[in-house]
Amino acid sequence: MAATFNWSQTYGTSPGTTVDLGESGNLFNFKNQDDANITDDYLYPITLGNYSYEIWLRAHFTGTFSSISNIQFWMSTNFSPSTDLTIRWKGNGQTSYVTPVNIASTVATVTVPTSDPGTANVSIGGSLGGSLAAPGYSNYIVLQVQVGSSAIPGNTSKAIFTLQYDET
Amino acid sequence: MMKLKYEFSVTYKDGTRVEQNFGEQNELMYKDIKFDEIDYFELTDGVRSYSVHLKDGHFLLNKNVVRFDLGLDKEAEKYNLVYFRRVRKDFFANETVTTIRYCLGWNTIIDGKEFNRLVFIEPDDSLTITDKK
Repeated sequence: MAATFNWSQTYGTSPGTTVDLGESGNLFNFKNQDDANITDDYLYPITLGNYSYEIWLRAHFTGTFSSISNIQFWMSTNFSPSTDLTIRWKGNGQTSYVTPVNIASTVATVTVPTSDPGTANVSIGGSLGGSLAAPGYSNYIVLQVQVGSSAIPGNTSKAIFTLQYDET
Repeated sequence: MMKLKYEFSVTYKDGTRVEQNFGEQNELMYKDIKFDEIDYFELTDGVRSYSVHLKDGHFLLNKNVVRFDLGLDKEAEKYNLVYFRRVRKDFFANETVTTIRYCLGWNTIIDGKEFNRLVFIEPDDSLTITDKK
């Protein structure tokens, strides 16, 4: 058997609500609202000089497998236009959920990688060397968009993210 | 359920051979392999065959024998199996594309230093030989 992968999002006031988003398609949107609704982003635009609500994701593995390890995450294609748009993130060591904010995140503080990191950058069980031996979750992948004052108004194209892991 | 392109089989030192049988009721899970009893571990798609032999660390890559000289004065005492599938998922707007690279090889410790020799079978069936995971 092989692991089944889904993105999982947690939102709302801690402890939050956790939902599986699926694996394919437009799974989440950066917006000025903390929920898992992907169709109403136009109602909650992020204005110039402000931040999206943080998005709290986890890689969720179900099914039957021997191990999952070495999770790597990066943005393989940026938004277009991307002028003055910055995605920050955290993938290592965020073991607990905190109510998302729409001000400068103290969690997602590092620019998201834009190429294969080569080694694990998403932790499992609090460690980059961690692994799953049964169905479960990675630690949190926290994302936030900062919209600078020079950003171009309107929708962008979808950013493309990549997730990679080793499985036995 | 997606079928794996390459399935493994294990031949133990006593000559018995077991197959992965992916997705079948009698599937052999990787964690249930008797690792200390392996003679060789093989990946095959029914046409191509790649195996790692843990007695002396040589590889048989589509009938071609490959041996690695570590350039040391001593041989490894034990070769430990390395196997995993490196699963990559690219999340496009309308679809997710999944690609798998299969890795087989060994690692060993000599004088406190770890050595790896790994063969990645790429999605186009080409091979990448490396000493790094």
